Amino acid sequence: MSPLAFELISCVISLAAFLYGMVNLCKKEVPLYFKLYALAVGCYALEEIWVVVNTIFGTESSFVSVRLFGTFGFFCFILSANYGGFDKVTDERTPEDRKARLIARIAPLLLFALCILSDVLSYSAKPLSHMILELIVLSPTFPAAYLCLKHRLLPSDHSGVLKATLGTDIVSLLLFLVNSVYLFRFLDTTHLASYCCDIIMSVMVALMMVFSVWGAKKWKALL
Amino acid sequence: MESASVILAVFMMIPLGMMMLVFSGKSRVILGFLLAGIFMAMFAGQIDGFILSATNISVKLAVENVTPITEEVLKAIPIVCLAFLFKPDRQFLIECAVAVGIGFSLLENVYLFSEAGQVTLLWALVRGCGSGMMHAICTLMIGDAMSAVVQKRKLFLTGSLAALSISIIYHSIYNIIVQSEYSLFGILLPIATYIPLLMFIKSRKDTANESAYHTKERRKTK
Repeated sequence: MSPLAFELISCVISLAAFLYGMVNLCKKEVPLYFKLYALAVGCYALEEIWVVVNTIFGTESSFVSVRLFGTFGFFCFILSANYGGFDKVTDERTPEDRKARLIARIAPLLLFALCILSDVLSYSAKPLSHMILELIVLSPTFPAAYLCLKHRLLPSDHSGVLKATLGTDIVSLLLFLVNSVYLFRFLDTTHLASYCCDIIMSVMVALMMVFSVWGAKKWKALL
Repeated sequence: MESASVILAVFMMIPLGMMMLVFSGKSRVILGFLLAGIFMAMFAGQIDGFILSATNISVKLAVENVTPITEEVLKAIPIVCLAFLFKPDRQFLIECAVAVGIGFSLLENVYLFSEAGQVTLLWALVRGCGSGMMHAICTLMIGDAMSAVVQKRKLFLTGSLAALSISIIYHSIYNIIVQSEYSLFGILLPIATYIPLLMFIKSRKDTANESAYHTKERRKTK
């Protein structure tokens, strides 16, 4: 299978996930958290479209690409969801969901740390300027990652919604673990594993949407 | 020697600037944002020219990877300023954002026309439906995101950067298609995205109106 075929498959999967999310989540009763996840998936799908279009018509170059903004936008939407996704913010803490809350708060930070680490590792063989540029682009998200730690709290009766949000967070965390492997394609363009990672990432994005729709349904049931 | 884009911008900006005195209220502000779009297009032309001369990258590569970033960042500046300095209502912010995009594409298209020489009506249609719509859609996305961010201030950083990233990627996709031998397909992208985007914005508008109505009702009851 050619690299383009892999890219096309992942593009179709992510686009379908986005459309599924938009149809199910763009409703007034759905919290902003899930809507922002749908937009994050939209950003990811747009990035995949860019990859396909660039592979067919674009210029092959080692120059730092616009694609980076797709990843960056995806991060920003996930952070926005984690930081300001819910209007109902309480300081209520119960022993049952303390552990879950802890994971929910640590996940976005871990996500960022992994992303930066993977980017630094993958670019270490490239000129330093690329790495610096990437870090500059990603740096504004650090304060946001820190701030989102404090604001992701839900009332204890929302455990169903919390489980769903945890699902989306854990999938997004795994996604960036796969992404760190995927980025090695910059070092070796014939690396088949990197293209497989691309498809796995799209499947994960679709899974994120499934979790979000499930969470939105749980939320609606509470209303 | 002044570049053609500066001369064309002056041609457009002087009469429009003078006419701003005739307009009043919201119309004047919208006209002002149209002018801001023209100014930003002129400025973007200068910056892109500088980047091209300072680096060794080809024009094609620059159009795919550099100009979407500079142009979208410049177009977003007046919208962000309006949103955070004056906090206008959602509809007005979107109208101003679209005015920036249209102003930008106006100068860009006139400049390309002056450079191209002999062009056909088909060329004008492609540029109008393609580039003109694309710039307006990009600023529309930023304007809509800003209207949400203004209400939820804590999302300022992440929300505005996410919207900017989407518009950059979208712009780059359009530029790649338009530069290929299938440039006609370039016009399909803005058309295909405009209708769903309009529906999305309309649905958000209805929700916003409804929540505003409920808040009013609650206040009345209190």
